[in-house]
Amino acid sequence: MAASLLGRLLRATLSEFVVGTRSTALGQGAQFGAMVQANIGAEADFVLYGLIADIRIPEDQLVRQLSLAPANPREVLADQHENRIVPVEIAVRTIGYKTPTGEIVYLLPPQPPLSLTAIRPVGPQALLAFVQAHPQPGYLRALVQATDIPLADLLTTHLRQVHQALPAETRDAWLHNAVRYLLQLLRDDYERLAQVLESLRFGGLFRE
Amino acid sequence: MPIDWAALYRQAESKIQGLAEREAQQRLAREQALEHLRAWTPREARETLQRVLVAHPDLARNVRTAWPIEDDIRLDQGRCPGEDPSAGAGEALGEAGCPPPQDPRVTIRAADGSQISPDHHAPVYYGLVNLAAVEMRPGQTPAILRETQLYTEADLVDKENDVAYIASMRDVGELRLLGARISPGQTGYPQIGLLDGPLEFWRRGAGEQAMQHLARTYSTLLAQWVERGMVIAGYVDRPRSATVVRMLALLDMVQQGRLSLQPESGGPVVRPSEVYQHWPGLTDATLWLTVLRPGQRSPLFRTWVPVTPDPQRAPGTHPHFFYFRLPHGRGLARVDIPEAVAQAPHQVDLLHRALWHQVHLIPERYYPYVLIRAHEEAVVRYAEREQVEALLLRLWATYRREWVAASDKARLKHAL
Repeated sequence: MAASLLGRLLRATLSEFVVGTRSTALGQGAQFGAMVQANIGAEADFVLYGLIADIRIPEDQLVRQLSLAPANPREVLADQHENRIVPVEIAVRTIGYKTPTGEIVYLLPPQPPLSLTAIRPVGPQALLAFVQAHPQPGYLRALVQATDIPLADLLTTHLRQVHQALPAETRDAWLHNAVRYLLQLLRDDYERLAQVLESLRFGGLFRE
Repeated sequence: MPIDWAALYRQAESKIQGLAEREAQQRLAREQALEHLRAWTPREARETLQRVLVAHPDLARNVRTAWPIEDDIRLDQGRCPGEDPSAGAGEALGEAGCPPPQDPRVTIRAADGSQISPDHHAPVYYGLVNLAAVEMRPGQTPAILRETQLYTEADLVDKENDVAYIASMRDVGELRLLGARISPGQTGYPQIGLLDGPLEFWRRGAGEQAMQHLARTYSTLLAQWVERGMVIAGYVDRPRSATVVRMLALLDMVQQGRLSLQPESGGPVVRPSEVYQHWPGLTDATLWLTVLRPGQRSPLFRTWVPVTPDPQRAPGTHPHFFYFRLPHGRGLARVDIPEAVAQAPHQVDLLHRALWHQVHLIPERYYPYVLIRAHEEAVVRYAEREQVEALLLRLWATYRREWVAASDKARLKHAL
């Protein structure tokens, strides 16, 4: 059974894409750091994977005016959240793809998804299949190479999610391996490395 | 063709310079009209005006005016939402006006529409009406009802004025949507229905058979919703009517001796144009902005419609209205209501309280929230219009296997 629809693609490049959805979808897998998937082209088995790097709720004039009210009645809030066609934009960073033969590749895809492609959250099984496809989590390069994302928090949030999804007997080893890989990637960028380590600490991924 | 800027400058300078003199005349006219508003009791004004219309059939046939129907509120007085008329004059209102609104606990529904008018120069000749109704119920997410109707050449071929027909279909559709079922069951709350604009059906192309049919449909729908107990109203933003001004003008003429109250008295004849030009440029809004404080409504008025008696007008639907002062310098609205609502003081007050609550939901705008949302849901944006045209062109090419183009005139306009 297909995972629930998160939204549809508004625009895309090879390294990132933006999903449009309603505010009511925010509770259905649209969370910072969550993994999502989209089909590339017409083939159902050619799947692109990405991590949610930002969620934007654009301003509009009516919302701005309503924000000036001392209190908004429940009916008005419900109307704004559930009825108004004000799309929420979810920015997703591409981290790899799966070919029709089932091979998982930690590279940019051959082409971006098409407009209005359905974007769906990735379930725990598919998440673990992706992150464990290779000995090293090479897909993290895509995040480190990006310049306009909250790298430290995104990495930490993603690693936490994977850590929680893994079986207890393997999660620490996987996390240890992922952090060593990150240290290697960021060894020449002390500033960002320090931010990532600090974020990992606050994310509870370092035992005291 | 370039603008003749020299001529434009001379005209603009002259007209703007003339504004000062016009404003001085209007101030004088306003003061004269306000004197009458203060001097006449509602009963005196009503009875005098009715006698004038009986005595002067020409004026009755050609002058749109009104008379007050409430005797417990002076003409130069306003009333706050929820105010008890029997309580007598309380403390004078300050500049802030009526007390802050309370949630009136009503179901309030607004309907609005938008249209694409037929264009003979477009590649495909069509019309479109897009309707939406938004219903707000206490404690619930507002419900939305939408309806889109396409009209092709086959639907419009026998309509003399197709643009007016589409606009009238929109008006009828808005009223119909006001009473349509959105969600099952009664709400248990009093129900208010709101239209954006006058409540009366505007008879575009009055003589045409199709328009007559639409007018009858409109009247029937209005009667149905009134019969159902809906407190129905039309909300007119920035009204420019002078219906009450003409009432005061006629009273002024009576007082001056220019108008006799006796039928066929052989006295002076006043032409309808003289009534309209008695205080040129003076509007009802100018008067009520002086009289009313924010939140107050004016007395209720019954409209005198200067046409032959309308056999299509159902009982309880004769047009009435009041003016409603908005907060924070936002001016006035005119609220049109049918006779059945005007005759029910508790319904008038419910409507008044609901509007006072609604206009406070969006600070700085002070327009009923539910009307704004209905408009937003109904409006057809330019980009959507292009998409509709693209769809029709594609279907035309698919099923008729021919390509159509805009007229030379349309192409020239786009090129410029």
